[in-house]
Amino acid sequence: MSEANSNTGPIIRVNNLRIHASASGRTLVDGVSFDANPGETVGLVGESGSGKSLTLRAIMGLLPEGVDLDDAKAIAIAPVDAAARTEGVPLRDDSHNPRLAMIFQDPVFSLDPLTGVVKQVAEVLRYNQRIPSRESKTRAADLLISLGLPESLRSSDRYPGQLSGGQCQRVGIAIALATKPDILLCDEPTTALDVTVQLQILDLLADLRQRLGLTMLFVTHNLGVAARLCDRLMVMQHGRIVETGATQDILNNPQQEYTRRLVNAILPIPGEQDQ
Amino acid sequence: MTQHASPALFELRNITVRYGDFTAVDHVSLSLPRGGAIGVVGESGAGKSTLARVASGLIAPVEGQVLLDGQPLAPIRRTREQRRRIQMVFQNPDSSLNPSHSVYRILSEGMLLHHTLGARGARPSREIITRRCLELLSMVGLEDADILSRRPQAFSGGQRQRIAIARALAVNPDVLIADEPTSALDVSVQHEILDLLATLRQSQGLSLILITHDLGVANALCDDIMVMCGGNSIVHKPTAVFFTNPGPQYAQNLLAAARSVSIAPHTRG
Repeated sequence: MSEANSNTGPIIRVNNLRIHASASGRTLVDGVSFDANPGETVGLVGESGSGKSLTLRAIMGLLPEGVDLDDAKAIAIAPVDAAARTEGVPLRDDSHNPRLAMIFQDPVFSLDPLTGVVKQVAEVLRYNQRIPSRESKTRAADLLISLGLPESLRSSDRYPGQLSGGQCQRVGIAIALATKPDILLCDEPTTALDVTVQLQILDLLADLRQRLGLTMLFVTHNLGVAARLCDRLMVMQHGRIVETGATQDILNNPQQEYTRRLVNAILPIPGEQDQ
Repeated sequence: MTQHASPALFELRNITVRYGDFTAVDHVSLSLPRGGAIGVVGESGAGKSTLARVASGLIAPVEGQVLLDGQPLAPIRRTREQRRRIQMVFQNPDSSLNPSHSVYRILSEGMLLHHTLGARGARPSREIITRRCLELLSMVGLEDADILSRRPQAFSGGQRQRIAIARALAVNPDVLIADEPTSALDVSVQHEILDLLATLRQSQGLSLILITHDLGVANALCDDIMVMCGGNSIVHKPTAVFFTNPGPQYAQNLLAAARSVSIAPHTRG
């Protein structure tokens, strides 16, 4: 389990976040507050319309059109004191303002269909890290291959349409990592994937978190997915956090009726106690 | 539970489908007794939906037969009665309901076409149709007063899927082919839909082919499980047997992956 470092406070601090629909004025996120500590993985779980994705997008600064943030000051990202990190190797060894990156639900459509994937990752390296053009291609291929994409990308680039859904999600993760993030925001990153591929991506994320010391916010409707990756869960309903706690406490001993309903609605896979 | 000894109500025999050079379904067979339920599981590209489309008569196989009561059906041009008896529910309720039709029209169209409300030629009164529509909607758990006049966009995804199921049930089918009927829905709604399908099996003897990528869903509803991979049926077993002995490596991996994100008390590594 990742531990908050005692020397540093939370890296993400959300205080009374409110989001409403511009046209109708309807409240979509209704006073959400939480902290995330460096290196921690926090899950935002809930059903459709609960406000979990909007909360994540507000933190990224990627709110869709037609919704408004009441007060941008509700979100604070604390500077990173790299020296104080206890776990993982920080991507950058200086103290700095944390960088955020995000991966999305639909891995195929979140990529440019008309550009090769190596080129897409190289572009991020070039603009984000000022790496010269030629070197950026090599580095991009290195990064993609390290994330499990085929070696053949070195010699011939491929379009997203030529890759599987799981491979496209790895490209999405590569693009996020190319910005050297401190915080990785994940919006249902495995929902569109087959279960065996989902498992590979979850394992990849767990491994990256460990190696890079990432702080992660993980949005999912799937409590099982959340359970596999998250230290702590926040259950959202109708734009509010209704319950929060350590993952196993929430799953084994939910306090709120809504959480109980969510947990009980999970269909068991027989024979898992044998595992 | 079903009586496996009883003769097959519905059968797919040696179905093969090709798209150009690509074999989407490769000699797949299954049979379904009255009131039986089989779960066809597998990952994307396995051929599950193609198989469902052959079963419902939407596409023709290049090889193989679909049989109802032991009688082979024409690949696509089935009789109206055969079409009535085999209904399909699609994965995405948004694209399977006509957005410009009211719920009344969506539900009544099939009843009128198939004369399920009375003899051919005698058009049933609006009262009779309305009563039957409300009955169907209450069966799927939708009971608002003004529901019949509303259009699909006035409903949530879960409600729309329930309307799609009500539409399939409106013509009293014997076989329901459901292609990922709960995949687009929240878990709490999924529970309601699965309960509904289980009830219909019991109360009306409805037979079910359930296409799903979710082993939990198949387990909740089906007597048998068939695993498809690359167009082939690689496992076909009673559900309880499958979960203790899934068989080939691919099925074991599928089961292990499903278990890895299930909520049995397990600890993180």
